[in-house]
Amino acid sequence: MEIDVIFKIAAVGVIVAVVNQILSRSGREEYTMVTTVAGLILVMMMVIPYISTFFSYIRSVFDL
Amino acid sequence: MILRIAGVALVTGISFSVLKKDRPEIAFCLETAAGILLLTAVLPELDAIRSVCEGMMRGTGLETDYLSVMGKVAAVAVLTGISAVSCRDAGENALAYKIELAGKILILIQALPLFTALTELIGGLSEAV
Repeated sequence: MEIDVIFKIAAVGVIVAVVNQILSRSGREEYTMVTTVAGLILVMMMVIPYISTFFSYIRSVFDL
Repeated sequence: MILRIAGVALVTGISFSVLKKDRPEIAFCLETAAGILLLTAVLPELDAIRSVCEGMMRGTGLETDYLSVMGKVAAVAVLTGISAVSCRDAGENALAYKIELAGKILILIQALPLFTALTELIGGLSEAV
């Protein structure tokens, strides 16, 4: 369960880097920013459920 | 348990070093996610520690409210440390300083009941004398 998320994030990062390289080599440099932002949004969508579980657990344990 | 943590940390370190040069922002998300996952794996063990501490506090006769205050202070300190160090790793020294300042203020606010109880205790002792 846990290592899957890390592999997915690493895979998204590698894909974004490769796509950015291809785009900059073929001359479409304006799309590199778009793909980077898309990759970041994808990664954050994967990470935010874990963060919310973590924070709600801390809130329940420590009565914050 | 520690094997799982060590394995996750190693995989994260390797992936982080791969991504750091090309896409540092995704590398930052990766190490934040790994940190959160490691802490979520370890947190259930805190219940045992808390029950032992409660037993000890009950034995000494002090109020158990103080244990929850200490727990909240520890939680605020840990969370402040994690977020400040993450920001500093991402190069945001100013943001890390502000996070630490906010954490210190929140810890003081949490500890205020203890201060008032202490002053009342000292006042009561001086009246008795």
